[in-house]
Amino acid sequence: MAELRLRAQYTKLGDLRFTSHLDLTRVIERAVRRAQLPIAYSEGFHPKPKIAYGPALALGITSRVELADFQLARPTEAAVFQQKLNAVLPQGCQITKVAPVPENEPALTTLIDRAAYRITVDPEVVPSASTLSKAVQDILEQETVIVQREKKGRRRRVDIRPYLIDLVVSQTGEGKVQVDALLQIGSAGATNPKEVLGLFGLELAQPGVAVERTGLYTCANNHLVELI
Amino acid sequence: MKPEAIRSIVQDEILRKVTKPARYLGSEVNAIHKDWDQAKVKVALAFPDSYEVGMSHLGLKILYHLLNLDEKTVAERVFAPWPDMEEELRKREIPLFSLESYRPLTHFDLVGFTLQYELSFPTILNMLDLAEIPLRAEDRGAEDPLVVAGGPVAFNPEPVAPFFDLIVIGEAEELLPQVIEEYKRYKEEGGSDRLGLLKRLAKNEGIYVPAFYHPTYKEDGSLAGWERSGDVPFPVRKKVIKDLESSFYPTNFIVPYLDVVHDRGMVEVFRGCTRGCRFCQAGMIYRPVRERSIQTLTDLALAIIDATGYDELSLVSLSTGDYSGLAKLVDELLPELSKRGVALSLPSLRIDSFAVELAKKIQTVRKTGLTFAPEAGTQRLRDVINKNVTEEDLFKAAEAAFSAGWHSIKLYFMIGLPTETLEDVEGIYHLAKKVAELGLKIKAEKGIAKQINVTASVSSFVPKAHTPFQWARQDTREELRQKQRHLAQLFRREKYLSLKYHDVQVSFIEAVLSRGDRRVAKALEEAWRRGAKLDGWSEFFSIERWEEAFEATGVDPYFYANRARPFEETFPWEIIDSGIKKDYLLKEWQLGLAGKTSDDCRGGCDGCGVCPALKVSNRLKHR
Repeated sequence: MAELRLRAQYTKLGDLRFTSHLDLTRVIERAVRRAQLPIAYSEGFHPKPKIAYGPALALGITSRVELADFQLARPTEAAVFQQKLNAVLPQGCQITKVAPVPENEPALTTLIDRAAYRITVDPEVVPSASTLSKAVQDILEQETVIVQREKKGRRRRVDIRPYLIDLVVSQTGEGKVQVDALLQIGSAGATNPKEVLGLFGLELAQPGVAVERTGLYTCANNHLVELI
Repeated sequence: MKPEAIRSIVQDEILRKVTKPARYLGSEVNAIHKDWDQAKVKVALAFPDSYEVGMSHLGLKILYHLLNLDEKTVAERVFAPWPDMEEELRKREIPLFSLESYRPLTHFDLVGFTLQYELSFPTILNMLDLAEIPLRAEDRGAEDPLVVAGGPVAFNPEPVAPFFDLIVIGEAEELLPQVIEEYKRYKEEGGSDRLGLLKRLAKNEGIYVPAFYHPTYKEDGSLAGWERSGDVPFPVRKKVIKDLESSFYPTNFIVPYLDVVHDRGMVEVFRGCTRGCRFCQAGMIYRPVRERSIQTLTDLALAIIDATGYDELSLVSLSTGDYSGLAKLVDELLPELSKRGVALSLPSLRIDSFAVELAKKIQTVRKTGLTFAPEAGTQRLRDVINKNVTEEDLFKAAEAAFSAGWHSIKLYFMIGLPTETLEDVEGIYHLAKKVAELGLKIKAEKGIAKQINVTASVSSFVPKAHTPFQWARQDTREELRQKQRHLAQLFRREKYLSLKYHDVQVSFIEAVLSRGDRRVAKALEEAWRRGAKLDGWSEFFSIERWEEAFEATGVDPYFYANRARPFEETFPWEIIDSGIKKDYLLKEWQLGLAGKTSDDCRGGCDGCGVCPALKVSNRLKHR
């Protein structure tokens, strides 16, 4: 069925991981224009295509679960939308799923308050899962986990323990160590993979450390609800 | 180093550490990735500045797509890495590589640099060094790529001549394909007789092979002339496209991931300018005017939007307001573009109310600043430089702009122009003040609260090669600084005026490099050895490095920058024939000194000599 409002799930893989969130929005907007899809424009002096994105993904992190809502000027079928857009999107940014957006649905950034990340670490960096398991156990047993944040040159101490919903350590077949982190994000308080890596003494830009976002959810009655 | 190895180290170890890693990817939409092994000639198009500056440059886009049209040619891009990236590359001994295939530049047959700005010269040396290519042409052998230069600054090639195997003079769309054809022949013949190749190339119009020309100097240090090895042309005459309408223009521009300086589609409306401003090098060396038709421009514009998805399209040229069919072109383009959610922009409009009407029409979107370029503060001095704009023109345009709702106007000026007096300098202030007062009056009448701002952006004059002002001296740095201080004092108390001016040190080095002869090359090399690179960026420029380099190499910078040149002197750039007669430049210089103006040659030939010499003529499409 043709729809006026579509939600798309898309990837940010390969070279696209080196682009910022703002760069990626430009990639998508230009693709929409190349695909000649009937996107709706905002009113005013500088009309912008009506595309509402999910939470920004930090440069360097890959994802297969990014979300954006598209407001269309004419009803368009989800399958046609997906096929036309994928034909012109760069490799690494491909739409994997399209669905109508429910009536009166709030913005994605308001809805989404949980993000899952998978951190994969090469054996040269962390030799075995047990080292990290121990660290994770320690962290989760603490009542507060303090990190330093810097904003406009001012340092602030923040307790991120409430935002560390879950951390699970495992070992892959290739001998790499994985941490699956479920984090709280959004306006009610948030942490991010960079801070989680920091707890293990690791860095996002470090060779041998890869981070992928694996899920975006809204939390309702202690259940994770998918948005597409 | 193998491309796969470079790619894996760069992507896995480096890119997450450096600023703006999207500069180094090469996978942008519309980037061309060709089968390397199928190609006969591989060309690296090198831009000696950051990715963001280079990807804003139209010439690079034209050449990239033109060369890649040929099945047997691979053309890839390379930009100057930002210093953080350079450090990572040097630390790991990774040679400078092309963006598309991550191949070291030494794997290419030709490495072509565009010369857009004199201060990029040290960056060229830095890129050659990073690429592990010998800096000087004389140190390169059959295994090394041919290092080529072109672009407007190549019209005085001498300060960089020792670093290039050949320099193309004029429009590269005509020249580079010729070079490539000759190169194919050379490869078919075994690819070992590099000297033979250069000899063959040197016979073509528009190709300068510095190794075949040896400058000699008089006792007073001025240039005597050139001794030539073998039968090579003298001077080297620029090559032009006769008809732009039928020449190649790309539509599938690469779309950068990053927000580059000019991040939009561009259509080149025409090439050349006939206004005859006496300080303007572009106005002289790009003659004659050659326009594209409204139909062609409209087709190109829409094809570019379809292929790129840009939300802005710009009509570019040296003076877009002069296009013979501008009003009609805008009327045809606007509805088509707005249907697609695309804004139209017109940079480089001249000062008149017609321009403001146009700007009003197209800027239904953003009321950003409007820019006008009176260039000088008094009518007397504007007559000297042949900027045929009156105070009345400016006021009319400003009035129209303020009435249409603009509140911020920027005015471009120069200080240090020939014959300039204190009154002319102060004229900049008076003119800006009058424009601001006009704005205040209009705002008061209309009852608009928005604050008026008039910014005077004041650069320092550099006398350029191949212009009527080539005989002039540049003001000394102290003279320029005094003028800047004087202006700063006048502007200081003014609420509605702002003043911006350029670093006099940068203008001084620009003068030395643009007016220098081949002896300047060693100072340039020395400045690079002392760390000069990306000197167009104020955070990296250091005058001390240059002063030390001049000292160490015995090059006297004042000899080049601050000396008025006698009529009989032979200029280093006389190795190049732009088609314009020296007599014409001299006549214009004398008219200028006398404060007399000349007309735009559209109204009648001024006798500059370009059309008969190059067998071309102005091509206006809609008049």
